[in-house]
Amino acid sequence: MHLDSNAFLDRAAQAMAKPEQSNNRAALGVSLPRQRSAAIEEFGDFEDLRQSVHARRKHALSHLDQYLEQFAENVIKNGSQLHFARDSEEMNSVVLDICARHEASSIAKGKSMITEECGLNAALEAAGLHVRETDLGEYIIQSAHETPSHIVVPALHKSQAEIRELFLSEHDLGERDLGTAQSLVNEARQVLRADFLRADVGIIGSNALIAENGNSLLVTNEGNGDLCANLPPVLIVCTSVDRILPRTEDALAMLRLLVRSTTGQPISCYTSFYGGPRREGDLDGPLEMHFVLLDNKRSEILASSYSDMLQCIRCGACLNHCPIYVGAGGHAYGSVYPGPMGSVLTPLLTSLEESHLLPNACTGCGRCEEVCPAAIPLPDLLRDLRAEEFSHRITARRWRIGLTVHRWLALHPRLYGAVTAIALRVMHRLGRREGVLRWLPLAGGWLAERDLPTPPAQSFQQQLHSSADQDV
Amino acid sequence: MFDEAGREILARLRHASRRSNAASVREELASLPEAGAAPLLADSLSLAFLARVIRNGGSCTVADGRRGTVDAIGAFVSMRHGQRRVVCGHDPRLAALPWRDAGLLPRFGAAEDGDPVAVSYARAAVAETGSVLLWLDRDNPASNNLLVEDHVVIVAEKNLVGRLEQAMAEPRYAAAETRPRACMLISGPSSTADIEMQLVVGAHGPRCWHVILVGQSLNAALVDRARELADR
Amino acid sequence: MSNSAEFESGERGEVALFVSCLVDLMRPEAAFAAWRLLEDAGYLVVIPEEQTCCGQPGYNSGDYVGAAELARRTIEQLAPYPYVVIPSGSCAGMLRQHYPKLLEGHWQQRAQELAGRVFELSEFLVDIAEYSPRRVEMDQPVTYHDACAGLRELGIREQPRQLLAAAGIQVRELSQRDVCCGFGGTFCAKMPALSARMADEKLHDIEATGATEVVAGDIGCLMALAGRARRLDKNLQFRHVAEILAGDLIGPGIGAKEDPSRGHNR
Repeated sequence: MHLDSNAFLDRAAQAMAKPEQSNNRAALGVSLPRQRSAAIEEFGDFEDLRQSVHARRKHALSHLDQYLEQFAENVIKNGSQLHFARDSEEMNSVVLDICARHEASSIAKGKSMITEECGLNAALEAAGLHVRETDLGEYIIQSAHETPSHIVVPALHKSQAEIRELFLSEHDLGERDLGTAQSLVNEARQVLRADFLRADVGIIGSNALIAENGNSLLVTNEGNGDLCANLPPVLIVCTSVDRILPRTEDALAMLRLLVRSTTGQPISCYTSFYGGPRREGDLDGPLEMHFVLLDNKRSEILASSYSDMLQCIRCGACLNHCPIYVGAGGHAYGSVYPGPMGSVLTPLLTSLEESHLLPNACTGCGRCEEVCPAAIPLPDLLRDLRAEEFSHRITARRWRIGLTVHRWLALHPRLYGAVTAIALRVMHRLGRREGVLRWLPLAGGWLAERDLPTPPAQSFQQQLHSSADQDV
Repeated sequence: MFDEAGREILARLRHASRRSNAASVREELASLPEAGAAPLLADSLSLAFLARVIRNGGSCTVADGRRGTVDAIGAFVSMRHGQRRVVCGHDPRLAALPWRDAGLLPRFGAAEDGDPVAVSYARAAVAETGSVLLWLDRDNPASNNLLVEDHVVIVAEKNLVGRLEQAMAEPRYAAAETRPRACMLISGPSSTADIEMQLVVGAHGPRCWHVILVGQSLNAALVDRARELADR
Repeated sequence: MSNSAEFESGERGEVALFVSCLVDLMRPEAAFAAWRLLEDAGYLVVIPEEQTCCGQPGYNSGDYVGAAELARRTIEQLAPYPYVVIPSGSCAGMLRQHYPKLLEGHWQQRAQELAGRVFELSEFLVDIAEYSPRRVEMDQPVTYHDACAGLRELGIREQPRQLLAAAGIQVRELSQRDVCCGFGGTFCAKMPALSARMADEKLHDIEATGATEVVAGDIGCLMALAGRARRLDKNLQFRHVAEILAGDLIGPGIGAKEDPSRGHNR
């Protein structure tokens, strides 16, 4: 997976310096939580639903081998073909193989985070295939040669004006205004329709795989995924092995959580189940249907103490509610997966060395956990990752030393008292007039953007002792 | 069934799984807690369904029989397009409609790019979410749901259910031989919020989603009540 | 609700006041105020000797081993008391929610047992003591900031508001109450620019209410906000809710530009 997570702070600074982008994110950080709240209030016992779905997924994950076997049997019964990929390279080569067998030259793609994780588009393009992202947000960033900044609203960082400029230069359609969002969407519809019609292969992701009947669930509002799934003669569903649920009803329960958490809608405009190629008598549909199931460390995560992370249904609620995501923007994370869920998943899919800043981009406020429909204990997992950093000495040296010193002092209260007494006296003297300190050795981090309130001359406990002494 | 990569992945998953026997897995599954559906907007399924359809950005009318149905389709089509051509799948219920009585010219088959209107007959509809269920098969090709500007979907009141699970619980869906290759629950016109989060319809699929609810005792007042309910 | 008039001093039993390191070192006023409130509520306040730190900074930075050592020390230290009251939501949360996660075996049991006796200050005053504070004359408009740990780990939202209302103080609510102020312990030093941005959002929200007095139950948040407010030259006062409820309004607020050298002697 392409990664640039260690540049988090620089990229965050860049994102914060761009007011239009910041405003988009700020608006998202207010409106989507509001929409979610309203949807949940209307639903009623959302917590009950959350617990029920959590239990079903936990059950499925703890018997994933058996459900995978059941799923595989049904895929074959439906007349579809099943492939596996241990890692990204294998995923890409399996898909390329299928395309090559059909001498495909043009691909229509629905939104799929798994294919982004694997860098599939680059692999296909390197092999000379034409790949068209059809989800509007993905189409916009593909045309702009950028990466997504949100897992649900990939073009969040682009203003309407920028999108207009992009369409005017990319689409050879003569003089036109394109002054409204509607006109932009109309134009995308017109342009992309040709891609749907001529594609040799359609590639889509999956929101859930159903073990009992070998179906794949697809959730969209645009219907682009369905066009990819029905028009081209070959359909490939790319997803990860952990997406398997036992029954259709489990997927429907999850659906109730998913869409409300993502946009506040009760259900998506298009909710489809795809199982197999054209049946006898069908007038359309693919002639061949393929599933490519990716592992890429899911089996490792399943066996680890981070297995709860596999419950993630990619709703994006944690991003929308995270003030650090809203401040820094998705690109700061330098990963396909940003925000709180990305800060856990990225180190697990790559390594802590390559992504050590991400688990630290967190105040532990807990808002993500509160809204997570999958009840993932995100703050705990992030802290556990920080604990791994600490024990593997990835944490910066000065912090490790500072914390060790602090802890040692705290275990030796008399020394603690003596050292803090000196520090307080000095700091108090320095800052007494202003009420704050603006300079202090070792406090560079704090003082970068804020003053430090001047401490008292004596700590609470010192004052107790000195007054006790006086009483004697 | 499992290629080399698949066998390796399966082995890793087996290692990470609880390794219970199949019977106890089934038992455990059966004992998992169920969960509620979203509340219906009204006690009457028809009213609840129509109110959701409207809230979802769809439009709707009611009809009390076959003649009423084609009249409603005709009114919609001529208002939107000023012409009378529609495309339909091979659903026998569609073939049985008295199209000529409303001056309509249906073509039976799969929609093509450029066809303005398709008419489908839903397998079921769900009041909880304002959704119509369409199997993708000869009776209703996928193209009819997706390629057209406007999608008209007829729902028979007797096929209306309360919650999603009920719509998907048909015995024919359970067996591989009788299951369609795919099905779609449609709950609104095609839409997107990808441009600065503004909600816009007609992304790639139909711009207009028009539902006609057919039942003996239905009348137009129901739609007015549904509209009121949707606005609340 | 009851107040001190109903009780003989200390009649309701003992509580240990575990002040928390930031209160101890940076804002003793909050500790003295908490002490007065608990006595007023009829309790005999004991201040366990040699308090240092609950271990939160190390814990949140991933030093589980070090934090566990501090946890065991704290559990031992607080063993004798029927109630432990802490004027800090994050510190109370650490003891109640996180000590049991951090420790194993019989220490985990002891942590669970301690958890049953630990309360954040406003939580204790309302839910256990059913205390009604005396009326406080407050001429500045007040807003209340809900610190994250207290809010989400301990569910503290209504209690401080109830206490302030009983003291005759109306709280002007922030529009984005549930959003973090950006302090986050070491976070504000590790990622200062992001932390400052979050603080600016919070300060903006505060100013929009027209309030000039900012009150919270956690000194960390108050210091971080006050420090940022001073850097930006904003005219806002920051105090711990205990100080307000105890009527301790004479001295300067946190980080305020006046002589902050006055300690409070009993």
